[in-house]
Amino acid sequence: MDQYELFLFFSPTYGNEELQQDMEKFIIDFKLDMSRKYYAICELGNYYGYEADFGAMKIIRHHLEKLRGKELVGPLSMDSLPKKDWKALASWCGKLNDRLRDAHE
Amino acid sequence: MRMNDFDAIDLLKKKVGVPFHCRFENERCVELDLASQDYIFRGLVRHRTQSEKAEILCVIAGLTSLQRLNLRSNMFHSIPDYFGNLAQLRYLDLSSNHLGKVPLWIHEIENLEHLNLSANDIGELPPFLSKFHNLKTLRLHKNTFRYYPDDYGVFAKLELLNLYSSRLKRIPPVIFDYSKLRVLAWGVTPIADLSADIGRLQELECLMLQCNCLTVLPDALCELRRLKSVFLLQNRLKELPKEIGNLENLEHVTLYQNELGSLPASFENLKNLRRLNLAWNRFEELPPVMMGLPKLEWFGFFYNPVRGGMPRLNHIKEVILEK
Repeated sequence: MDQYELFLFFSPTYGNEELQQDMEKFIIDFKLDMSRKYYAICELGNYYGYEADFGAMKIIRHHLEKLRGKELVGPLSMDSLPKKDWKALASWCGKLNDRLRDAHE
Repeated sequence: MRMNDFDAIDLLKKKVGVPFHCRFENERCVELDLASQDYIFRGLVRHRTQSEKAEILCVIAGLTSLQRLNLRSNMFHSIPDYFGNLAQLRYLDLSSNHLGKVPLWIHEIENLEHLNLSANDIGELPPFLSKFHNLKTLRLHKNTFRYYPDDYGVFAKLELLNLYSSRLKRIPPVIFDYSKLRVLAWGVTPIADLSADIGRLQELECLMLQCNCLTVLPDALCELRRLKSVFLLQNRLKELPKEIGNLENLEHVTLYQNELGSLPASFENLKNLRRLNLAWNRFEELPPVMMGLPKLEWFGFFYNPVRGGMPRLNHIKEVILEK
């Protein structure tokens, strides 16, 4: 994993603000020194509109902050139920591209 | 010989390995929390082996004076029947433990007031829960049951009921008999209308009805004068009741992802409104009533097909026009 500069996390929330079990196992085992690395998180839940801070994002972000990672762009809560918010995802990917371009210039 | 509660907690501290909350009264442990807001995964023994968890449960079962027990998010999968020893429990949180069914030993508890069984893949609700006439909070959300027993009509003291994301096809009529209810959460179901009986829940302060197929709301909703928060996001509402302005105590309204193109004139009477989300609707212009909501601090209005420019909304601290 150490060869990568940027880590993108896409994750739904299950239960009461919990990760999908395979993602939870991955996060627990993920102990990379992130101090020179970037990350961005897209939460695939159904939260926007009634919570500012949302499940999977909160857990993953907490862990990556402990590993001293730098957040490249703010997290996205992509609503998936009943309508998928593709527009927000496209906009978020655009921001990611812009930041990556800036970082390499 | 039975271990005293101090020794049992000492043993538990060794087995759990991280600090947890417990409280004693007269040398008996009356409160125990194996979940913590400070731990990001909540359940403090969530990642222990099943045999370690079994040992921990065995010690807890000896604390027979417990009145409050929180085992949330620990993935216990099952809680043994000898937990029936904990007959003094008033508060029990077993949420997010993959239990698959309501444990039978709960029947041994004498007088439960708060029960949380959410997110446990529970496919059936047993009639015996109806023995708890003094229940004040009942959280059953994120389970798979399809039937809510009529026997549960005895919960006359219920103040909070969470049935969000079950497999119920309609709101059970018995719920409208819960005259003390202050919080009702329901969502992710195919219901297209809301019974006018909602008007009988006169103590209601928070109503969550997100992600259904509601197209219309009953006028009776406007009789719930104590309402402070209404969450109606992700429905199919085309209009709101004309007298919505009667709900003068409303502070938080979320109508995100509906089909609204206008607001009733009475909306302007919601002088205590602080947060309003009208995003992803069909508004072609800013509703004129928006200019007359003096306490509004947060306003979401993105993804509306607004024609022309937007007036300035300098009186609102945070305006979200783009996601």
